[in-house]
Amino acid sequence: MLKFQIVYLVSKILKSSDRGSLVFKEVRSNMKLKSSNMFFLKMAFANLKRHRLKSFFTILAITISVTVFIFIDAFLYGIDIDSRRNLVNFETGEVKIYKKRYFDIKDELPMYEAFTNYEDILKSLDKIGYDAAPRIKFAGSLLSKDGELPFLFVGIEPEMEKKVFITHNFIENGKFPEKNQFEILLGIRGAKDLGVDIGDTVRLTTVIDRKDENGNIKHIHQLIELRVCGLINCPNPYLNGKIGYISLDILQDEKGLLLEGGITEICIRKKNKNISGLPHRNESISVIKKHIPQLKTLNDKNINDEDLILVSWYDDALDFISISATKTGTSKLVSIFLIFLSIIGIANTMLMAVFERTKEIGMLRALGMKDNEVKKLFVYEAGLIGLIGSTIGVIIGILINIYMTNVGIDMTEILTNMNMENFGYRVIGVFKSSWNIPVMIISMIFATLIAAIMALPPVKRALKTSVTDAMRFE
Amino acid sequence: MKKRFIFLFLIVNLLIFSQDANTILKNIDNNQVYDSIKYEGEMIIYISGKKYVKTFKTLARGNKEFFTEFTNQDDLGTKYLKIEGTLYVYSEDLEDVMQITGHMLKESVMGSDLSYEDMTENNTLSAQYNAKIVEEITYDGKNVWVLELTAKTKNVSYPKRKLWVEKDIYLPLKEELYSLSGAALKENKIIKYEKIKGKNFPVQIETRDLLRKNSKTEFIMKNIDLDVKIPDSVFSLKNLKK
Repeated sequence: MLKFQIVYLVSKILKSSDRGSLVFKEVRSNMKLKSSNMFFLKMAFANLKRHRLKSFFTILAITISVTVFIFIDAFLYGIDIDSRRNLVNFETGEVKIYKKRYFDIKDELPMYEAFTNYEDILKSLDKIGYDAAPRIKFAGSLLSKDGELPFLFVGIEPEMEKKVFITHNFIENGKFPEKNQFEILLGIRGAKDLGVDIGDTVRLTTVIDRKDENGNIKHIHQLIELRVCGLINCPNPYLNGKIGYISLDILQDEKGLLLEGGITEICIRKKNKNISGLPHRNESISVIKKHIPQLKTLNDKNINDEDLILVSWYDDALDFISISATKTGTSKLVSIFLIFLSIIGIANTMLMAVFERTKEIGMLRALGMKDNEVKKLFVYEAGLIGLIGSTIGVIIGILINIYMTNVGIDMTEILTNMNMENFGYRVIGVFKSSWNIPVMIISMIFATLIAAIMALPPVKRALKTSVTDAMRFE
Repeated sequence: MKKRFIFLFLIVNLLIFSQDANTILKNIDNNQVYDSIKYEGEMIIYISGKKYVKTFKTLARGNKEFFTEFTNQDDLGTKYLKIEGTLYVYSEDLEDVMQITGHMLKESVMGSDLSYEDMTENNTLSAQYNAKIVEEITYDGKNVWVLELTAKTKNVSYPKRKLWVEKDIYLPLKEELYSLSGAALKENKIIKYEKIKGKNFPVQIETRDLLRKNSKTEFIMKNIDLDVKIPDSVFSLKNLKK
């Protein structure tokens, strides 16, 4: 009750300084209460009400910046999660098997480092509950009547590929390649750029890399005629681009790539896979290694170049993940810049508010309030502004996020018009946000703290003025 | 008995022809084999109605080593080095040496009809192919053998070739290069040759990448000096970076 009396009295002082001496005595008599945090909090709250308009705009600035930050963060987080999910579901699977020497230079697509005799591994994987898809990747060009374009080609075992990946569910026209057929499944954008459609004939040119008996790498020119059997239009833009899937068995002899049973990778996925989840980095590697001990991992010591190694989807796509993390980081910098702008706004508002209230500070000091207590009062006031603003910001952010996680934004048209279908993330179509609760909590705490801290410099400056000068301040 | 005789005659005939074709191939090699060569070259690229001229200087030892430096303004400072079957490039833009490997070898050399793979070829024809005479005709007013070449191993860059060889001078006036699957990929024609140190040496060759539309490259060699002494230091990565 007494605390309210003090608030009342202080507000009276501010309305009429004539009665200052009387109030001074009353306030002094209640000095004990001034040390109570609740007292300052209530006083700060009363001040907020007194400066309604100023408080409103400062709160609004904080609300907007917190909302925007939460939206951008959740949006980027959603893209990142979807991107990784699409990577696993369409490109890598959960775990891959490579020959160590191939893995070291896999970006060069060295088909001369292919390996054979993998059938037992496939059987063992099947027994322990994993599907596996043997593959070969190679680079080359596709020629049509309209011209020539560089493509990445993937030789696949069609039925095994369907078990590990979900690409076959996203064939807009046509069908998945079949065994023993000279046909190719193309990314829809790649096919469009090449000017071909289902049923058209394309010519694949490449250079076969083989090691001769002395271990020297030899390059053999090859041209394969193929019929376009289908077009991929999936949520992973990489597969919609310049990529072609061919049945592995037609690549075995002189009409293909002289593979003679060789493959460059085996992609592995749990039989009861959850395509909406993201597999753990190393969980399956441990399980597989336990059952197939001849397979090594990247962490093993004394790995031979000829050894077959288990590589997680994360390590396989490490370069891509690093790049997308950089991109996400850059985008987050933009939102952090927004927060920085709002900090400047808060600082400016607090500066003006404190400056205008120099007389009030002088009065509070005249009434016996110590400098630290004045600082505390203004810090509480600014902190309250931050807390209210960020709480509203988080609430609005959550409401936006409910929509964004369930409905999202269809970016297809925007990205197509801007020719940015493959903008570095493995996601296209409807972009959805994801829940990033820790960031929401942190942004609320951060905005409150920043607002509170921003009040300190102008108050310190005002406290340097003598009490009498401050009270005379107009 | 008569049947057996005919069969034997055919076999002997086939062997003689086969022998002849391979001898022709060796003679072709002899025309083009040298210890070392130094020349100034010009590469004229015609593509989609446009013409690009590139000039260069080359030093080479046998088929295994060469050093080429481009001298035209646009490509000034670009150098190629082949040593031990590996091709390296240095460009002023990159300011670094890059090894050309894997699928990059299929790429065109500076927009021409030649690929890097064509530049890395090491062996003589007779070392890589078995030859067979398929026709004896008149080509471009000259009597020629048409030879069909099949690679001796699976590791030859162009597994099949067809040569139109002028009988008098053992020079392949025309050559077609085929992929492993048998598709025609390239065509080379000798436009001009000169007698240098007793060899009939081609000095102007026209190359067409048959997979490219409206494109051909003329390769002209000038100031040719055969069997000159070239220091080892020329064929080094250090020289490439100079």
